Amino acid sequence: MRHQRARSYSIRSHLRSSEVALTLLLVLITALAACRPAPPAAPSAGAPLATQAPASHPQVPAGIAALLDQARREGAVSIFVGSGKYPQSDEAKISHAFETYFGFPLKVTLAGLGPHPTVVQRLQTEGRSGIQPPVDIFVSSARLVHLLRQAGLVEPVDWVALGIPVDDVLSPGDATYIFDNIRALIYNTRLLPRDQAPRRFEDLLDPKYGKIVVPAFPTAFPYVGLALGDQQAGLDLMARLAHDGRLAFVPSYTDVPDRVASGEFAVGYSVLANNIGHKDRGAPVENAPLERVAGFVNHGVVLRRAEHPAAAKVFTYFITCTDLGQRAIDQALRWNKHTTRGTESWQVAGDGKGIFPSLDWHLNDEEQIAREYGRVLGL
Amino acid sequence: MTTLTQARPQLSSSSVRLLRDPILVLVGLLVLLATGLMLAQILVLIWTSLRPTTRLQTAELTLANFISILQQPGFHEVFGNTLALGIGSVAVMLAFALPFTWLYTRTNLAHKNLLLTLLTVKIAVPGFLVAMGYIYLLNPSNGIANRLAMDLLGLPSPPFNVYTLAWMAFLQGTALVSPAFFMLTPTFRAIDASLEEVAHTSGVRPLTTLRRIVVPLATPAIIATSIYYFIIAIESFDYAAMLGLPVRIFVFSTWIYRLVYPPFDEPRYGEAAALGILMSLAAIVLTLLYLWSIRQSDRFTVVTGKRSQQRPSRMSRRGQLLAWATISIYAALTLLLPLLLLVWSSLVPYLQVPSAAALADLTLDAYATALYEGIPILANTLAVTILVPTLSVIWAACLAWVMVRTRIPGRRLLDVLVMLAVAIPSIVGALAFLYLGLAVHQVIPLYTTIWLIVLAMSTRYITWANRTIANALLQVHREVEEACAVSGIRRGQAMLLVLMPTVSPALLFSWFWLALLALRELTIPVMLVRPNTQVLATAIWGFNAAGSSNVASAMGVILVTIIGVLVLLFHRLSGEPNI
Repeated sequence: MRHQRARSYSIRSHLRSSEVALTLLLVLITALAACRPAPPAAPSAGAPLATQAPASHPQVPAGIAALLDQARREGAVSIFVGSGKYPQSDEAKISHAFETYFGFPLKVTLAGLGPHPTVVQRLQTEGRSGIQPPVDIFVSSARLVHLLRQAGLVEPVDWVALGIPVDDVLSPGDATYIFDNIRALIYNTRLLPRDQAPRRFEDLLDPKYGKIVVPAFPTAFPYVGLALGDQQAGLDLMARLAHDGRLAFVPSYTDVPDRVASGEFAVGYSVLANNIGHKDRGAPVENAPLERVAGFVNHGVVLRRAEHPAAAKVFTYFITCTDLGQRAIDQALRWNKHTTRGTESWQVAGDGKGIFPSLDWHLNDEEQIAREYGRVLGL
Repeated sequence: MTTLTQARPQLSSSSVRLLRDPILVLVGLLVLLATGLMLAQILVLIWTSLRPTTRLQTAELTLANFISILQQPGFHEVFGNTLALGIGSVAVMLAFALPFTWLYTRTNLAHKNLLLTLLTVKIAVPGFLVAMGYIYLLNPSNGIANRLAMDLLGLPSPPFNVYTLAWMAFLQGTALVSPAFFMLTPTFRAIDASLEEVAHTSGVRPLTTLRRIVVPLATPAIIATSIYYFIIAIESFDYAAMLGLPVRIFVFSTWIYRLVYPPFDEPRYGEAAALGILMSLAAIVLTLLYLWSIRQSDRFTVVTGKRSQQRPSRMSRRGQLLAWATISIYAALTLLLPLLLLVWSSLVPYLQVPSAAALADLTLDAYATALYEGIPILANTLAVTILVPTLSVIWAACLAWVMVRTRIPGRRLLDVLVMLAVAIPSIVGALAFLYLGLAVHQVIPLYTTIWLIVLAMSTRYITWANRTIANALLQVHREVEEACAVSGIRRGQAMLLVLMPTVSPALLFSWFWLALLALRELTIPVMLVRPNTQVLATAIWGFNAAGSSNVASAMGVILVTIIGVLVLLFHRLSGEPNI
């Protein structure tokens, strides 16, 4: 009994000390949360964004101007950016550019929710249950945007009526032209000098390139066929590489530059070399000087039941039609168009080197062709 | 004249007993809730498996999913890979876990708290980060070990290739050593030391004592642990995904992942559920083996109402050195190397081999980003880390008590249900909760909150804690409760105030161990996470999958540091030199 009393006293004293310790731990965590460090400085790249005084009356179309007050009240917007992860400094960069242009703050969230096809599936599943989408703006290929449209998840915004130029509006009128996605070959500059880098996709058959790292998505490979000018040639090429054990699959597009930069692979196929800023950080990775390359346009749509609908429309206009907005997303996200001189997309796919299929191809042919690649590659 | 007592309705004796014992009522409610969640998971799985794989909203029933899975050309190969992974992992696990457990609980190993700390911190390191470190070390393209071996030994080709089933099994097995250690420790500790003292007095060597006395006594627990972790090994995802997918080595877990997250086309939920059902059927067979071993448990009861002195076996100096050499090799292979590579990759702007040029690029930028991105999600992480083990241990203790200490009809079915919950792969269990959350969202908006993840993980972890607590309860003889009954203590009070304190080491171990697992759990949160319910593990995974390996590694280092602090705190709070 005496031992039990002593033990209970010991337990009580331990509980007291445990309460103190846990309280201190919680206080420490709360203090850490309250005293967040300053956003890390991102490496500067490109021309500095405009630093003019906030514009109280920016020159915007009447339709957009009518949304400004509501957007100001909403105060925030989120945009889907694929599987990439971007630091808060990139968000701040875009937010600052927006405030410079429109004269009021807007908190921008870059939502890296995962690979595009996976996120579309998730949105469809959640949409059927009436769940509000986790982002306001969805940016992706025509095929995936079309899937969302068919599921009734796209807000039927009439961008032309809002004043956006027709050239920047994509069929059927509820999507805008945001940036280009080039399906490029990249290589490690320490393992391969530039004159040894592949210039055509057929060059990949040369065993000197070793294993080629590629994303495990069949939808990545029809662009090989487009670049070759013949889908059957693309299928034969990929089948041959797969048969020879020359392909290494990774779970995301943005994993490819990382693996090439580390030197694990000499050559990779997916996104441009600086897609997530590897070149900006000094990584030895570069785009292969391909004679022909293919890519696709990324569409921006506002999702139905978005939390910030007005802000989403104003922001979409900002990154579609204003020079400041386009430079902001180029510097922060490396989103740019092959028609804009000086950008990475232009360097790889500009001046006629790039092949961009039609909307009809995306909606009617892409899926079937991708399935064929999937079958050939065992995906 | 009618009295008031005669006018009142008569209650049955069992109802009266129940009302007088509110603790029993509470236990019953908790058991019902836990059972409901586990059953719901299984029912959703069955329901999903019988629907057309991409049209779950229809009323059509079909067996096409099962046929499709069984007729897949690579089914037999995947089956063989999965079996090899499971057997290999358990073999590696036991090779380390048994001697470590014995050394910690039954010997006078010097500095044994260091062993405990090492094993605890090992749990903290997420599997995919360990795999990433080994890819960095042993990949056939430019792995550091390969390059060193080729440079120093003049080898024409790289001697190591981490992208093999053997390495998957080895790393998976070493990852299971820590949880197996925590599951076996209460059993080993509860074994009466007098048997070993007799052996020592008779001149029997410690290893012989281990082989011929301790291990046989702990056989039910060892068999149960092996069965349990075989199921865990074959459904585990991290190593199979990191090391198998790049070279197209599939096991069932990665196949299920591919069905739920296909690179193309719609998710094939029905086929994923069908595959989960098939895996569950295999687990039922294993469950029968487990139940058989449990029935033999009475022969191994060695903890009675009498307290006995615990005197550890004495090891020679040579034995101490050998033990620590083994522990050091294990720590180097499974903890030190991956952590060093984690730290390295967190300090460089992009993954690169250590070199003079790389040293010039060292920077703390990744830590700044990691702290800024990670601190806002600490609240979610804290909620998961505290709520999940608390709920799991409470449910598991109630279930274990019902299964092991009562004669309630159907308790064996409860045992089967708990084991079946293990048989459901984590990824498929999470899928079931995904559907549950979507189905009840209009009524109970759990889907967009952290509670969906908490409930899914708690349900999953019930079985982890249940095995540990049940094994510990098995070692307590019934005369303890008989003494309470004779003393007039109600059954609920006896359970709460006598029995549970007796097995409090198992409860504490379970809580702490589950807190660590919850902190690093990836498979369930990654299926259920939304932008506002991110936890540290999903943030690390997201950054790694996105190619930001430096930020992922920095977050991993931070996570391991938090775990280390928690471990030290636990050591201080326990107030004992050894746990």
